[in-house]
Amino acid sequence: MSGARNGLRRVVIVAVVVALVVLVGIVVLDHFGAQPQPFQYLLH
Amino acid sequence: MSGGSRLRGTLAGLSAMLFGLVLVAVLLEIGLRVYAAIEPNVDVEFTRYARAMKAHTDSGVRFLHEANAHGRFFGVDVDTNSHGFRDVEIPAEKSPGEVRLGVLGDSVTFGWGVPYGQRFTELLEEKWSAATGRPFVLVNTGHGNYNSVQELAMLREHLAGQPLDGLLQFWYINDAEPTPEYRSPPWFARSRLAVFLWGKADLLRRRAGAAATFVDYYRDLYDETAPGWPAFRDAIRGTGDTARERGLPWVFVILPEFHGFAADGPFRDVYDRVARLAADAGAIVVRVEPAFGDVDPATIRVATNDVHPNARGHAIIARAVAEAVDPRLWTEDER
Repeated sequence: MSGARNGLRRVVIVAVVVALVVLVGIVVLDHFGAQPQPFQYLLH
Repeated sequence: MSGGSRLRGTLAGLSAMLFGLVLVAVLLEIGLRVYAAIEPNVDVEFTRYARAMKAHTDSGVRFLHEANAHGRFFGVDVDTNSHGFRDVEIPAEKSPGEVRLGVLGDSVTFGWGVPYGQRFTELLEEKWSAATGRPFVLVNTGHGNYNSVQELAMLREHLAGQPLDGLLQFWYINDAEPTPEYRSPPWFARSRLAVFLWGKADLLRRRAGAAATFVDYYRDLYDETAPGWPAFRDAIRGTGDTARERGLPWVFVILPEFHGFAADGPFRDVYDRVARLAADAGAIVVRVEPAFGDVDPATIRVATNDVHPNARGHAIIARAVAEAVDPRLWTEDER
């Protein structure tokens, strides 16, 4: 039982770290990389 | 270890992986919603705008804003009138002395990210009313994503009954894009994560050379073999024909591409070519790019990630147009 709890804790920690890394990547691209794009309307 | 417990172990591992992926997506969705609320993003805001304001129509414009709608995009209130235009209600009849102009354009004309009252259309109303002593009313029909074909359809189908004295058209470099079939935004457009991932994947593809840069993308629109070019050319000629039939002086304003304003920039020949096309079709052509010559592009953008002109950019455009156009052009007794 404690093994399952430890496993779950590990999954949550990994998920939080992955989410943070991707989030920071998106924010950095948003600030420093967005300008050379044309207006694009695929989703609009 | 028995076969049953091995299966249980595999299932537990897969469940943990699935749970982890869902958790990452949920955390990112929450994080990006918070981020997008603090720092508006062009893709997110444009997607919200499309979902909230646009509705399909069978006319040539393909879509119109919902009538009498309200929204808030890029921190700016947007209200539409009964025609779906981002404007005050326009009476069917003109008031005594009124000079009424139809204004054709896209998101720049719509005033994306600019409060009502600070767009070039309202600024020109003020300038020309003061200069002539007659009330000028500019009917701003700008819709985000319209191209020149849709603008011609707007003129022919939705401004047919308007008692106009003239026509103003604001061209931007993406106006030769082919007219897309309108479709409702897909379900995943509700997700900030999906919109951000799509936008950033596109950005990385362009950076990696796997997709055209914005310069190549825009320049290619004006190649003789480009899919949108024949319709664009015919739309400009058609606008000239319609303006002539209705006796409307037509001013065609060439807006600069807002990433940069160098005199030897990459779009100079495109501006020249479009100017010749519009002039041959009967337009009085006004080129605004010299007015931006000394301007730092970063100071006239609505946001770091969105090059639509802000209120300062609109003021520069209004000043340039007012300097180039004698408003007596529009007054009936002077024609």
